[in-house]
Amino acid sequence: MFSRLLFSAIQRRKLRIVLAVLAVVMGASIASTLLTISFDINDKMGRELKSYGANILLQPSSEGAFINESELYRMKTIFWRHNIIGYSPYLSDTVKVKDTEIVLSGTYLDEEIRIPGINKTFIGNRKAQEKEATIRTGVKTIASWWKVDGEWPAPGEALVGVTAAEKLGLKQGDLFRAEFGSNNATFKVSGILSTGGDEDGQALVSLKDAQMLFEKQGKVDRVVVSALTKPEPREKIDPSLLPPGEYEIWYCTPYISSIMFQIEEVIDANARPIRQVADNEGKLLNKFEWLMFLITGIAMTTASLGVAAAMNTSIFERKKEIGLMKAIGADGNQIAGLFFAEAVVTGIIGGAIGILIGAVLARMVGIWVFGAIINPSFFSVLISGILSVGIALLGSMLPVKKAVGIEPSIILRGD
Amino acid sequence: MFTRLVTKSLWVRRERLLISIIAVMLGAAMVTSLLTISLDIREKMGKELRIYGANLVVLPGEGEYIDQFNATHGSIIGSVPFLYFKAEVNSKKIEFAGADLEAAKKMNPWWHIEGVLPEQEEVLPGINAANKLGLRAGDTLSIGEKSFKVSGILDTGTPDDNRIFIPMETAQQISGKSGATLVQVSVLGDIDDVIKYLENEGYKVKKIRQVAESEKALLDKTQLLMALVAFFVLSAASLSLLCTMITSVLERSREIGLMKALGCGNGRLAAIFLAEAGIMGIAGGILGYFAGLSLAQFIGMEIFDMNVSIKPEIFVLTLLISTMVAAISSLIPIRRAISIDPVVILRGE
Repeated sequence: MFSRLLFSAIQRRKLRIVLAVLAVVMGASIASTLLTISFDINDKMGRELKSYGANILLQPSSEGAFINESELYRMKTIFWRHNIIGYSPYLSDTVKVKDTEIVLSGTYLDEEIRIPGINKTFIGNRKAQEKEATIRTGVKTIASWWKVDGEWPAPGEALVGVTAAEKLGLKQGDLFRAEFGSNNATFKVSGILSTGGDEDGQALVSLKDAQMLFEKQGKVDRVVVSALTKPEPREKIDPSLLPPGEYEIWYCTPYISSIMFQIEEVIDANARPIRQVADNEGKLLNKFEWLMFLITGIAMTTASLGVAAAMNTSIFERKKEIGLMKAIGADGNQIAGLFFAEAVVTGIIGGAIGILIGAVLARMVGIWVFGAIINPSFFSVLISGILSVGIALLGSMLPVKKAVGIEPSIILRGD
Repeated sequence: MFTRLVTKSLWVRRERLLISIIAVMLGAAMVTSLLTISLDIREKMGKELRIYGANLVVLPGEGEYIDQFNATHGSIIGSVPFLYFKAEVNSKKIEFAGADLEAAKKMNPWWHIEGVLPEQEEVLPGINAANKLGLRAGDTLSIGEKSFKVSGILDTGTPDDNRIFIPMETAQQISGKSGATLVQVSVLGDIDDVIKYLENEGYKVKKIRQVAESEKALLDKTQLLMALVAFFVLSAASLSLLCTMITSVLERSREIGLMKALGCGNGRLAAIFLAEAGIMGIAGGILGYFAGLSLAQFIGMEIFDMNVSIKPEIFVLTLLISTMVAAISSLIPIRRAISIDPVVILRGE
């Protein structure tokens, strides 16, 4: 009987119901779009901020020592390996070119690095196995702002910084001889590099060529690492002072300090933050996240009020119907039950459609703005769902209370 | 007669009217706050991104030194002259940088100093330089015949770590040079315009690409994101306003039937309802504009610590949108209502 009443009530008032559902759809789609974006903004904006370059610097653990190039792949085996976006090692020294001293650096330009498969045992003996993988990395990935007039160098070729090129009178295609002690090597200038930074006064060759010239096979003296991190809490954390539980949490959070700590565990080197990038990143990410959450909050409040207003109207206009029901013996609880059931149905249908629309919209925003897909998170779906049903119910509360108090004789008599 | 009809009908239904006006107001408030923020975001975020430090380097056009750097351009928000020179310390060649270090620290807020900024006769070595020379805060360092106190150690993670920073005057005394080898400039706004201006002044200008290029890309993305969000919310707000207006006219079909039965023409009927919608649109729009403005202001203060700029265009736009949506959304149900035979409506459901 109840379900038949509910069903026929919905069928008879198709247009009104459609309008109420539509209001819920609007609210739910705004909520789910904005929530989805908000939950993901940290990751997406973090990746964008990576265009400012590397945020971790590895240096030899003692003065005069070197880092082994062969150990570097290990940073892709740490707990937060997926947060390591790329790295590029450097080996620099001063060379003589045409009797002028300039700094010559060897680095990865765009190298494919093999990462051997790893077996890891996590807490509770859960075994994780990863297949052998490769990573493409080098300055092309890490320093996306570099501008090269000409070609990126092949082995035996060099990029010359714009200031250095001017000083040495070099052009693209020229040959120059770099002398280092008793060694020397000849490079062809493949392009002119401008960055606006210190690289403008240097020459850049492939790491292999530099190691050969400096006779330091397999060694590097500096590695810059680009890692996705989470803003650190304001207070400084000293991991050695943390109790075991908190230590575990710190270790398993992608703070820059824990990632640096994990890199130091597998590579014999000293890790330091590149403060220009690392410090600012956290501040900016916090702002972005705040901004999105505030906007989401405001939009959701408005959407909720809209849904509440729609529900309010939809009950308000059925005074007569309520009066009739009461006249033929329905009590307050039955009427309230009917209306609340209607609100729940409206909320569920509207919410489901709205969440779907929201997922599509968030995906579109992700592709347009960040060139990457934003997938709805469990929480954004959950919150939008609860919100749409909850607000539909809440919005019906007031008018239902009024409806229950209706005096049938007055209503039925006419306006 | 017409005005009396409209005001009377609004007065009699004031409770229902309030709901409609609130609906219009909410939509208008959303539109206003999001438009205000998204039009302002480029400037605000641009200011935030200036924490990355200088985005231009100015080099002397002729000769080797800039004696006086006095550039007046609205977009230049800071400039720090540096004097770089090399000197031997403990028979190691080290690069020195002289500057107004307080200004430099302000422009590069990420500079991490273990100790304090140096005063006269004091130096601030970068961490790599300090390691190389075995220096710690409080030590003394002799350059030539003079000795200096190490006031602190600078940690930046950039090549600046290899240099020793000293106050500008001290740098000029040691090196015997006057002027600066380069000036770091922080630009907020149109960077290409500033480059053109400085080149006309006879300087050589280099973009610090790491900062300048990334900033542009980031600002473009942020603005696009905000514009899209504003657009979605705007469409959703318009649609939910549409729902409210449709319902509010639909429930008055009896009234419409009665008016028709009393001989009111279709055109006149539509005019009455449109006038009502217009009044609601304007009232809700104005209220919503101010509500939205305070929301935008709240966000601006909360996140950027700055006032948002008030733009009159937004007021006009908000009013236009709310009135138009209110009018269009009442048009649809009115057309339906007036096409119905009054007899059918008046007879009952």
